Amino acid sequence: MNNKPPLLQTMNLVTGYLSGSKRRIPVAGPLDLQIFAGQLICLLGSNGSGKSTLLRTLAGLQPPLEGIMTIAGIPSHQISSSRLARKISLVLTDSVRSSNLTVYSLVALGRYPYSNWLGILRESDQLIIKMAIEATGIEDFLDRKVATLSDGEVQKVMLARALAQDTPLMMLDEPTAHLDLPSRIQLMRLLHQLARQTDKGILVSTHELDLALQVADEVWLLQPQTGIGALLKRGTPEDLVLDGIFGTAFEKEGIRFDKTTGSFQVHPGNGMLITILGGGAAAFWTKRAVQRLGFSVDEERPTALIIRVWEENGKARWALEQKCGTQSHETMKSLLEALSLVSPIA
Amino acid sequence: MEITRNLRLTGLLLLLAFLFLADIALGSVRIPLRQIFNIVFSIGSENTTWQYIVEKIRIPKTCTAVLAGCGLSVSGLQMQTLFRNPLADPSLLGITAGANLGVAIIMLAGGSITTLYTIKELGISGSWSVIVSACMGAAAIMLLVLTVAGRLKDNVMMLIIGFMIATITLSLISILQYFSAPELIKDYLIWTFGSLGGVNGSQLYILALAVVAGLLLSFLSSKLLDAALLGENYARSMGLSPQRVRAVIVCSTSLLAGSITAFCGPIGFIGIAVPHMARSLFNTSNHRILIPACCLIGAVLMLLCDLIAQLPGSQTVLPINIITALVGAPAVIWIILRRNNLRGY
Repeated sequence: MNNKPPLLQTMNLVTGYLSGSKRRIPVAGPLDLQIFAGQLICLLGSNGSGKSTLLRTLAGLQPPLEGIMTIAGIPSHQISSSRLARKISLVLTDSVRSSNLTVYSLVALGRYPYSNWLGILRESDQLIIKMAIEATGIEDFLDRKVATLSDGEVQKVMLARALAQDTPLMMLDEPTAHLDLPSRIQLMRLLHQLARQTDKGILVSTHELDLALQVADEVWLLQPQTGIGALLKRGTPEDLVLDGIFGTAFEKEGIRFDKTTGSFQVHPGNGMLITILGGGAAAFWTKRAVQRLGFSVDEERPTALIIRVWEENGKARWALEQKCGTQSHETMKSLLEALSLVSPIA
Repeated sequence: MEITRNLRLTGLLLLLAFLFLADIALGSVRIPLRQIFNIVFSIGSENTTWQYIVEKIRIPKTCTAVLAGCGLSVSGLQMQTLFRNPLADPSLLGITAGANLGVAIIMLAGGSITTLYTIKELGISGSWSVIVSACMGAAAIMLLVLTVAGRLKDNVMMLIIGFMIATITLSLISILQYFSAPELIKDYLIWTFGSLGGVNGSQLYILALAVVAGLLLSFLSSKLLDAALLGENYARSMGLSPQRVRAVIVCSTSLLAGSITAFCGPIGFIGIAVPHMARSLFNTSNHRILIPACCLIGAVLMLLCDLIAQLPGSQTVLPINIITALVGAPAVIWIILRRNNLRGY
């Protein structure tokens, strides 16, 4: 992958704003970044860490405060806006519902950089629009007005428009926001496939940490620093997790990233210790249930409180062992009721 | 879809032709229909008074109605696209008030060239001064509204600001009025009622020139307007410069709204209602279709308003402004009710 020249490269790039009379407010940097063809990059960071600012800067929507940015080897300030439109396509968070456009004409707007002064589409344009529509699976609502679509449908339509623009680079700003879980997974999977099949370089800013860990070829992690602009850690998602960088980036009070499951723990888990013996799905969900009650699960050594989990005729069974004796339970509900009498938090 | 679109287009063209002739045929002086035809198709009539009325009064007035209908509708369409706001319109956002201020400055503070009447009597140079001042007034307010619009994302806020700017402009006009001689104020007030009948001879050519130039500019930039529908960021990502779109729309809107306001007075509500009719009638948001559609529907509506204003069968002619408000205001209410929530519609 790395013997090809990058589609986009930055050197010492500082993003940020100019406030009033030349007062610079840096948001992130200095950054040395590259995007290669066929790469899906997820840009992660907490709210206000400067994801959108970085994305807008890379997309040419706002000028960098410092540094050099080259697109296909050409310095960004030398690229005309019409040429840039053939290099980078965008999916933004801006609302497009007020436009009164039909889905088809919105997607067709993607051909804008290629059409003549009156905006008349040629046959080759129609063909690319058709391909974009098929790739995103929006054939069923081409004649509907954009205002009548659901959030998930709008994102697909905006993705189709970006595809119709037919650019080697594609940038999406939080495309999964407001979507339900299946739509989020669908969209991320689609982006992953697009990067593979069309050899596009795709940059997605998102809050979907676990999805990003699954689909991204590379993760860019923005970490805000007090006083100066944010720093960016980049690497293969698995490397970032194993090095603990991922965990520390999102650690807030009482929220911990669990390296072994790749997810965040909702419950602080500083209560009474408990041991779960057994395996499989039942043991996993039992662990989740007791954590919700406030217990801390000790994986290593047996504690005063032990739950045994096993299966009997395809059904899960539990036994709760305490000093005073052993009770068996047929449902999770009765187990939890018995556990709540033990009162872990008090 | 293509067939219904063509059918509607033909229907509108026929309606336009019919209303055009009807507007010439009807008026306070009753002229037989056959004579009207003879005069319109330049066969001539034995009655020179009738000939004079038709040639010098009714045909210019009908042409003015068509020009005003086209110009106001298209400027309304452009503003709705630019502000991405269904209620944007030259009169609601204060652009007409700006043109109004331009005219008021010329009329009330003009000093030696005192009334609009004398300005009109001065012929071409006088008409030009009114047109130029009206267009400049319109452009100034439009630029002001645009500056504010850049900071706002909320449609309703935008309308309130536009309304406030219009109010400030009208207050400035009131101050001018306060310090002006009563006879000047009377002329000015009559002008503000709006009239299609005041344009004749060389003025019609000047108005036609300004309106056609504005329409042409608008049509040539229909591709820019299409891209502007998605908002500034998307437009830029497609290689369009927002400054260029704004410059084009400011030029053509102030040319259209300014020249029409200068000659016909402030005519409201056509600019807001017609683009919505065009969109729902032709079911498109493509400006290459919408601009001609707005012209057609705007001309039809304006002729209709003019016919109503004459109160067929009577000697009275109501100010055109009142009729367009009576027709247009319910249309605005209808738009709001249909869209339900204006903020994110």
